[in-house]
Amino acid sequence: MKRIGITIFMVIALTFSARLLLAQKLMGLVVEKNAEGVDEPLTGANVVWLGTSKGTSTGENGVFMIDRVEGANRLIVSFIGYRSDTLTIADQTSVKITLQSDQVLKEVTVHGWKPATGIDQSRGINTVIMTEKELFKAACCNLSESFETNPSVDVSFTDAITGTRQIQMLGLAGPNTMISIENMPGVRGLASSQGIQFIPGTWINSIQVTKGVGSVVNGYESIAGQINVEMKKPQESEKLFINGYVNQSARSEMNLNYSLVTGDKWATTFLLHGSTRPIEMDENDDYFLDFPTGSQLNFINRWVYNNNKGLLGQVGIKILTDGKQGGQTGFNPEQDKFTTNRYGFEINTKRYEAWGKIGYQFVGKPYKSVGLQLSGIKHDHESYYGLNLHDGDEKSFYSNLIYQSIISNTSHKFKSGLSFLYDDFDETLEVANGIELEGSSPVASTTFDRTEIVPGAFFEYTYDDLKNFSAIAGIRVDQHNLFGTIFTPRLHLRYNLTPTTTLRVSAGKGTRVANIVSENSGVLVSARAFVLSDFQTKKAYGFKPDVAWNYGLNFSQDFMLDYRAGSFTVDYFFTDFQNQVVLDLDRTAREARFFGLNGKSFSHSLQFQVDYELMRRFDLRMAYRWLNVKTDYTEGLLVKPLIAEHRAFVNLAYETKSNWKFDFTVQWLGKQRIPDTSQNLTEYQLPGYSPDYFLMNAQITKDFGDKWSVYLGVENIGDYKLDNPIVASSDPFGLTTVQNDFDASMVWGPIFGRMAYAGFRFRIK
Amino acid sequence: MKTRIIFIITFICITFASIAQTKSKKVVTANLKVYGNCGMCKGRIESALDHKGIKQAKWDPTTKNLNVVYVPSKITEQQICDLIAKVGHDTDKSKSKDEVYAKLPFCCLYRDHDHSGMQDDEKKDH
Repeated sequence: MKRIGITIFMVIALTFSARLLLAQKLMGLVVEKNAEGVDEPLTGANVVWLGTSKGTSTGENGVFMIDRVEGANRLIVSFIGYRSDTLTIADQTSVKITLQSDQVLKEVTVHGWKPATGIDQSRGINTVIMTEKELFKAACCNLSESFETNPSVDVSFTDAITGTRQIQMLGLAGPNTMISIENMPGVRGLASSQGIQFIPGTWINSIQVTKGVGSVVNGYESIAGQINVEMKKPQESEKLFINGYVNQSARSEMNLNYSLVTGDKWATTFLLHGSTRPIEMDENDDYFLDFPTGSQLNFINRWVYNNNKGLLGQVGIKILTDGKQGGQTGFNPEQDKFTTNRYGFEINTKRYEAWGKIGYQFVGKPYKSVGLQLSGIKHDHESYYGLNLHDGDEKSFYSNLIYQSIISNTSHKFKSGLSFLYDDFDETLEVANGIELEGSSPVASTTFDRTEIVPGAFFEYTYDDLKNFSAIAGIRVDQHNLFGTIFTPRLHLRYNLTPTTTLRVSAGKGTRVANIVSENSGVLVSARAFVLSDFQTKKAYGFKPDVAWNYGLNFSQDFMLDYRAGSFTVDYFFTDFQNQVVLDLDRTAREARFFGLNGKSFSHSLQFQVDYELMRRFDLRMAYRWLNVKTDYTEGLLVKPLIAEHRAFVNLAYETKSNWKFDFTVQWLGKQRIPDTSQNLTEYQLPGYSPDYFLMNAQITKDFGDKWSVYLGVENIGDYKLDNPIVASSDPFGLTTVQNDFDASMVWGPIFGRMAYAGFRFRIK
Repeated sequence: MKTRIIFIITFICITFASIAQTKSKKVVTANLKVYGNCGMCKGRIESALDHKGIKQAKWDPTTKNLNVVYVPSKITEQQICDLIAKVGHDTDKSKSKDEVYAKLPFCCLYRDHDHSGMQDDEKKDH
C-alpha cells in the first residue's frame, strides 16, 4: 500500500515537473548589426527546435517566444539572406542572437525628410503654434473656423447674407494680418475676402500665429500680425486620411489626404476637399437664407525631393473652384439675376496656384543654407449682390531667394536675400446707387486696374547669447513701381528674467496696398453708394498704401502649481497708422465713403491669458482682451464699428485615459458700436450699441484605436442669434419707400443659432 | 445679465479652485530606478503612472531614474512598481512578465540591448 502510494506520488511529481518544464518558455531577440554597428531587429526570422516541428517566428520587434520541448536543446534561427545560426540552450530563459548577412551589399538607410530650408521659425519672435491637436478641438471646417481656441484672433461675419468670415487681430480687419501658406503668399489680394475659407482644416498640419510685426523675410505687408499655415507634407503625415463631416443643416464635407513615398528620394501628397451646402435655410423668417448654398472643390498635389546630400526641393499645384449662392429664399439666378423680383447673390471663385521650392543645406554646416521659393497664382472672382457687381482677375508671381548663415559663430546668424513680386489686378465694380470718384458725378460702373512690380532686398540679423537674451533686427527695402521705395525696419528682443520668465519687445513697420473692394465686400450687400474721396494719388484706387508702426510688449511666466504646469501671459500692442484707406459708414447711412486718412488711426490691445492643467489631462485656458481702436472719420475720432471692446474666453479640455475627449468653450463679447443709422426710416434705425452676448461650443471626440475617431459637437449651444440681422430685409430694393435703407453689413453676432454636427476621421499611418 | 454674472462667477471659481487645490494632502517624493531605454519607454512609463494618487512622474532615459510624487494614503511604492511592471518595465521591487516584455517595440528591449541616447529621446523630452 505504502509502495503504491509512493509510486503514485512519484508519478504525479514527475508529471508535474515535466509539465513545469514543458510550460517553460524561452524568449529571444534576433538582430543584425547595421553599417554603424547598431542592432536592428529582424522581423519574421524563423526559430525551430532542431529535430522537431516546433517553431515560431519573430515579431515586428525581433522578439520570439517559444515553448520548451523536452529533449530538444538546439535551436535553429534562420532568415532569408542571412546565415542560419544554431544555438545550444541550457537552462536560460532568454537569448539574443545576432545574424550575419550573407550579402555584401547593405541596404542604404533612408533618413527622414527635413522641412524645406529658410523657413525656420525664429524663437526670438513670439509665435504661438497651433498643432493638429488644438485644431481638432473645433472640428469644423476651414481656416476661418480654426481660431476658436485662440483668444488672439477674432472671427466675425462680414455681412448677414454671404456667410463670409473675416479674422481680426488687435481689432484690425483681416488683411492687416499677413496670412501666408508655408511662408509664401496665401490669403491676400483678391482672395482677401473669401480666401480663409479656401483652406480646409484637415489639410493643416499646424498654424503659427504671431502678434505684431513679424519677420522681414516674408515681405512688408504684415501690420497686426502674421498667420502662417503649414500644410500636410508627405513624410510627416498619414499615408491615408479620410474625414467626413455633416451638420444639421446638411452642410457636408469630405476630405481625403493621401501620401506616398516613391523610392528614397521622392514623395508625394494629394489633398482633396469637397464640400456642399445643399439646402436653403431661413430660421429667422426674414425671407433671406441664413447662409448661402453652394459647393467647393479643392485639390493640392505636392511632390517633395530629397537627395539626402543636402539638396531639397518641392513642386506643387492647387486647383480650387468655389460657388456660393444666396439671398432671398427661392432666388433663381436665371430669372431673377439683376432684377428686383428677388434679391440674390452669387460668388464664384476659380483659383489656380503652382509653386516650387528648392533648397541646399551645406553638408556638415547645418546653419548654412540657400533656398529659393517661387509661386504663381491666378485668381478669378465673379460676384454680384442684388444689383451690385464685383468681378476681379488677379495674376501674381512671387519669388524669394534666402541665404542663411552665421557670422563667426552660431550666436550671430543672419538671413539675407532678394524677393520679387508681380501682381496684376483687373477689377470691375458696379453699384446700383452709384460710384462717386473724387467729387465727380456718380457713375454706375467703373474699373480698377493696376500692376504692381516690386523687387526687394532684405537682411535679418539674429543675435542669441544662448542663455537668456536674443535679438532679431531686420530691414528690407522694396522698390514699388507705383508707390516708390518702401522701407521696412523691424526689431524683436527677448530677455529671460528667470528660466521661467520671459519678456519680449517688438517694434516695426508694415505697409500694404489695400484692396478696398475685396476687403470690404460686406458693404456691397447694402444699398449704400460707393464714394471714393480725398484722393492721394492717381494710382490703384486713388489712395497710397496703408502704413503703420506696431509696438508690442509681452510678458510670460511659466509656473508649476501642485505639480502641474501652467503659464500666465500678458501682452500689449499699439498700432499707429501713418496712412490708411478709411471706410466711413457713419457720415450717412446712404453711402460707404472711402478716404485717405486725415488725422489719427490707432489700435491699443491688451490681453491676459492663463493656461493651466487643472487636473491630469484637464486643461484650462482663460483669456481676457481689451481693445481700443479709433479712427478719425468725417464725424471726428470714433471707435471703429462692429468690434467688441471687451472679450473674455474660457476653454476647458478634458481627455480620459480611454481616449474620450471633451472640449467646451465659452466666450463673452462686450458691446459693439453700430454705425449711425439715424437717417434711416424710424423702423430701420438701429441702436448706437449692440448688447453683449455669450457664445458656447462643445465637442466630444472618441478615438478607436489609432485608425478611427468619431466626433460630435454643438456650436452656439445658447442658441443666441440676431433677431433681425438685415436692415430693411422686407424691401431690399427700396421699392415701397422714398429711400432704400437695405443693409446686410450691420452684423455684430451670429446669424444662425444652435447647430449640431458629427464627423469621423480615418487614418492609416 | 444673469448669464454674465454666472460667467464671471465661474471664471473666479475656477481660479480659486485651482489655487485651493495646492493646499491638499501630504505628498511624498521618491526616486526609483526603472529599467528602460528610450523616449518611447519614457512615454509608456509616465502614462502608466497617470493614475490616482500619483501627482507627477518623470523618468529620465539616461539615468533610468524615475522621480515620482505621490500621495501615500492613496498608493504605495510597491503598487507604483507593479503599475510599471504591468506595462513591461522592471524595477528592483517588481519584475515584468516575459510575455509583456516580449511585446515591447525593438528599441525598448532594455534587457537585451542598450538603446539610450537615440535621437527620439530629446524629441520626446522637449
